[in-house]
Amino acid sequence: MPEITATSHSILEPALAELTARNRSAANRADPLRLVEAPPTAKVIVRALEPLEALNHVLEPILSTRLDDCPNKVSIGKDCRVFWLRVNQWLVIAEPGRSNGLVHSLEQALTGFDSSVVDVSDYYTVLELSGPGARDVVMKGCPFDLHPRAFPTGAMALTRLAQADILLYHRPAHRPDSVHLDILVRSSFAEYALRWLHDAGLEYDITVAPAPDQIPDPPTIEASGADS
Amino acid sequence: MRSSRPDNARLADRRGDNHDRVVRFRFNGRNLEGLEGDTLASALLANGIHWVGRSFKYHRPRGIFSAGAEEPNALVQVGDDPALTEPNLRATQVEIHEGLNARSQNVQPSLQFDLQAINDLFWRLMPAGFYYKTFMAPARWWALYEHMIRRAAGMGEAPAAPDPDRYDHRHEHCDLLIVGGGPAGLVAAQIAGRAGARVILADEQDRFGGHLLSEPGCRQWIDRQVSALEAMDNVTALTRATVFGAYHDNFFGLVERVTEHLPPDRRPRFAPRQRFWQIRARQAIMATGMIERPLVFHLNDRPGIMLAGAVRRYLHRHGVLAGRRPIIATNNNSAWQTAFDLAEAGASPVTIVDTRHAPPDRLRERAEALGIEVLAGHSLTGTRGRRHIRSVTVRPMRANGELAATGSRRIRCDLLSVSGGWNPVIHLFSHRKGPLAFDEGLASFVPARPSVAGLHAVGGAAGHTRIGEVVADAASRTRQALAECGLDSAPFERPETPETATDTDTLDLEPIWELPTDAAPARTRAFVDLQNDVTAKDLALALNEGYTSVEHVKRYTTTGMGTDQGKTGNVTALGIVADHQQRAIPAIGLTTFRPPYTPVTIGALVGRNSGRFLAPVRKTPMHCWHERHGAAFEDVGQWKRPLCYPRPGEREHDAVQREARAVRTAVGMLDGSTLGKIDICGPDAAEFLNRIYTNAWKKLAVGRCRYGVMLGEDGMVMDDGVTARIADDHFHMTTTTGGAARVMAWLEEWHQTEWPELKLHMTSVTDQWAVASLAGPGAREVAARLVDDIDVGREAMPFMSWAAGHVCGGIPARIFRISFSGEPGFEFNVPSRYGLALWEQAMAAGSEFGITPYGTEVMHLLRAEKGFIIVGQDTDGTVTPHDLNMDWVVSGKKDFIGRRSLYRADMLRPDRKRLVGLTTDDPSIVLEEGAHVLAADASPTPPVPMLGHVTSSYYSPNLNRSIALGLVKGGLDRKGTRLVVDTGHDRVPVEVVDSVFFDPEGERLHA
Repeated sequence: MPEITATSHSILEPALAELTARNRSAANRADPLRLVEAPPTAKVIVRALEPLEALNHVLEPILSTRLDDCPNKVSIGKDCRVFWLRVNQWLVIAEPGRSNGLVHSLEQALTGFDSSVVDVSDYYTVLELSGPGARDVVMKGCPFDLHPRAFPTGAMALTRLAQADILLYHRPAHRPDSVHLDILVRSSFAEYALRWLHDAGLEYDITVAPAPDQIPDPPTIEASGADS
Repeated sequence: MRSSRPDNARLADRRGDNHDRVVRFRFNGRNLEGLEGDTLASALLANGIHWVGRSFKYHRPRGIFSAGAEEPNALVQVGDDPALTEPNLRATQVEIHEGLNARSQNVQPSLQFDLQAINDLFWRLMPAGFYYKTFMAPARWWALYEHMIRRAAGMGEAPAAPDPDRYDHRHEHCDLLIVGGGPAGLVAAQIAGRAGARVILADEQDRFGGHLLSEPGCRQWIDRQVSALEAMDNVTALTRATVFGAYHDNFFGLVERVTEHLPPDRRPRFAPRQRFWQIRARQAIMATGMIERPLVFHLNDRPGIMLAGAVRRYLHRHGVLAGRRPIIATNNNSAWQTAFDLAEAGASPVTIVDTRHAPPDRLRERAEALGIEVLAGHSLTGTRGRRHIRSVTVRPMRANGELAATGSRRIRCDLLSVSGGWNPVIHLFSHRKGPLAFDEGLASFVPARPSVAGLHAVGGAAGHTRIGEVVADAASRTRQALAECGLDSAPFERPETPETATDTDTLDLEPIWELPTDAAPARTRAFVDLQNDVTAKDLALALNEGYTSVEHVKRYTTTGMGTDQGKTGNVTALGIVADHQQRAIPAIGLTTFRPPYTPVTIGALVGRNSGRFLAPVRKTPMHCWHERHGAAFEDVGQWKRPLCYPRPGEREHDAVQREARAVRTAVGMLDGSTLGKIDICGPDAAEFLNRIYTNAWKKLAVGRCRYGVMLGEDGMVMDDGVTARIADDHFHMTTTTGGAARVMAWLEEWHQTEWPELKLHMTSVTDQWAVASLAGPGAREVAARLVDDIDVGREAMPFMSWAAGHVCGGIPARIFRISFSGEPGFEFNVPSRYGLALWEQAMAAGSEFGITPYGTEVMHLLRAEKGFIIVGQDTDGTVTPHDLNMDWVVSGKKDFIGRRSLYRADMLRPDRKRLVGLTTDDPSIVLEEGAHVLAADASPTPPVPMLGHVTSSYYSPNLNRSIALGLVKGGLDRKGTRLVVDTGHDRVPVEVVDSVFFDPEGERLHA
């Protein structure tokens, strides 16, 4: 695979620049409400109609965790997290800097199974909302129960944010008294979601971080797909 | 403007719950002072102002009547700013703040001198149904009548400018929602909170306590409860929060008034004015208490006539003595407490008029001790005082309820405080279709059983009047609700009972729905619904005119309508209707309560989903480039797509013409990222496509693409697009931009429900890929400059093939050699993060070939020149492939969705509408899309048979004339014939031609 010299861009670059310029001085608080775009990493949708045991036999060496058929379960591997999406459908998200070869390895491992492995790295944009008011902001537009008893650290849900479909993931926060939510949204809806979250967060003194560095995780899929 | 004497009715020795801080506000242009903690109503009463408005129909002077949400009279317009002013606010619920500016509504020019007060002189001409009878004919004048009536009956003025306030939403979930923060609600919250439940306690007032706020001895009890609740993390206690509706599955709507009670300069900048909470509760407690109902008697609507409980509320909560010479009229014990408290507060003389002949002795003794005169077994036969009540006339009643022959007496007063009993607030229970029963003791409706589907009525709302019963009922029902949630409430001991005036909490009510009067029947005016000016006589009229159902009586007389929805008048109206029909109230039933309990602002329901958040705006990865280069955008579903790229000074039409010429003569580039894309993978993928599409797919070679049409089960064209075979078991499908989600759901449904045996998987990849489509004679040259390792030569990449590799410096890409313009086309697909880089490099590489970005309007024009259809423009759900002359895309050798429908008799009619080309005789005339196509000799007057309509119409710069596509009956047989197209004011002659206008042989495509 040749090295990529072309520049990649976040679809949010113009909006992030605009909103960052509107940040107020709240950034000097110890734990401000912060909205950032996560750096791009590999994301793969795995669909498979095979016994879990057989799938895990070949996938566990790659994921260092297991697919689970428990709804809304998140399994954390060394280099990735695996989200249960629907029956027989999972989303694998590489940790930053760990994208290399993920799609290809999954394709190789599942050859011969009734399965599909689809690169959706650019399909989703990930927004990270963190800080004490994060839950309140999302509750403005999300009908899912986000109370810590119902949506503890580590929980995820496919739900709605205002009028956009999202995957919401309650990531362990850096501070015990804080909350960190990952919001996966289709890239074409990302600016809508970003601006909506920003507007919702004004009440809580939200700050927006500039666009993430696009360099670290280039896409790893060959556009030709697995077999051609 | 002179400042009024402040607080002339405020008692020096008590302030109730008010603070010391003086608040200045304006009412009807007068500068007034109140205390922080006052409602507008309590502040006005403190200033001796009762008369605050005029009635809806007769424009009679009306005063503050209640102390809460039930207020029928004291509706005010708050604010002067045309964007912020709000009508129909209840003065009893508006909290005053510095600078508040309120005025009476329904008065012109002023409260004191109102032109329409003349209506009251002609009141006999305006009974119930007046409008229906008077404004019937001529029917065409209704528009004028309605305008006049609306003005005459206006309930305040709507804002004239967009609302600048912020409104917001919040979704919440809880184990237990408790509606109402009075004694029952506070006890319920205490028990549920200690049991560890997730509790939301909501009260519509600015503080908790409910009915106990009228009880001077309960302050400490309330404070103890509230501070205990505040210490619990699991309890969310909301004040100024009205639960306005109860819906299925214990879903509740609540509006929290967040900042509107604050002066504008103290409102946090981004905090919403109101917040609409959507609450999903596992169980809910309805602790909504009771609302007092008035007595109905002759001239019972004057300013200075108030509900007895309200008078007591103003006294104890706000330290306001609503009158110094009060009369208390009642049919039950509760109002006696008002009399006692007024006497103790210094009012004198105090008179009690009780319609009962034998009120309890213990009350009589206490009245006597306080020097209160008691007139038992008396009726109120009339009142005097146009702007404020001055006196009442009373007369003894016989045991049978008729007036005694003698004993009429007139008593001076400045306050008439009335009580006809108490109605449990059962609205939410009724919203949930909970069954109601008539309680004889209360003479009112109560829940027929304690709960309906997880909503439990407790305390006053369940019909309890004694504080001990209220508390015990709330405690036991709450424990039961918690048990339903699987929560154990055992650790909490018996709840503490607040100390209230228990002498009067057993009502001993003797219902009397309309007090007898000695006034002549023709002159009698006893108001049942104060807000809608409905009298007892109006109800009788409705019955006489044949409206027997209470629902009909309600609609004919408008009783129970308006902003208060009859909270004080409904049950009384039922009593009067029942009396007239000589039936029992339960036999005639109750009108239905529907949400909202009190009016809800549209702003709260909309929240932030307006303006730029009205609907999501979807953007492509190249959007910012289009913006920078002056694109004019159009909305395609939720997407923003460039329509064309007008240069400075260039009109859109000219830009479209320029871009369309450029594609035919040089090369153009279109952002096609919005196309729906579906990855289909699995050994049965080809078989699946074979069933979905009308044409054959099994033999499509890897590396090739094919155009496909899919039909609904009705045989009508549903979507189309090009699908490529990536591998034996792997396809890349494209759909129309607008159809992507529908097609994805359609495919999943067929796979999951009909053909689960087919081994394949589908994944939407629309947003994964950015798409740049090169088209034009120069497309191949430009493509060749962009690729790293892909051969785009004629032999290596023939029409309808695709190749994978890298472009623009290592970007992984799929290139599809397809065309929607009739020109050679190369569609570059790259991961969307590289869309912008691809686009910019293509623009740079194409500059020497005259590359021109083009928009959707140009794409539409170019395909129309070629007669290619657009699903949704040239089709409308009634069009088959045959109608579109596309039999070539329909296989005769296999089955597919919709095939059987294609052979129904109607599908084989020879005169079905078919797609044809239409050319105007005058090449400069561009037809209107949607215009009707008629026979050349069609009649100039209706009926005019319609032959079809124009579906697409453009001016073609490449043909130097206008072109149009249309669906025309028997269209193909009409080729060469002449028809006309109706433009609405003109008929344009056209010729029916083939639908392919440009390069019919398709030679350019393979160039």
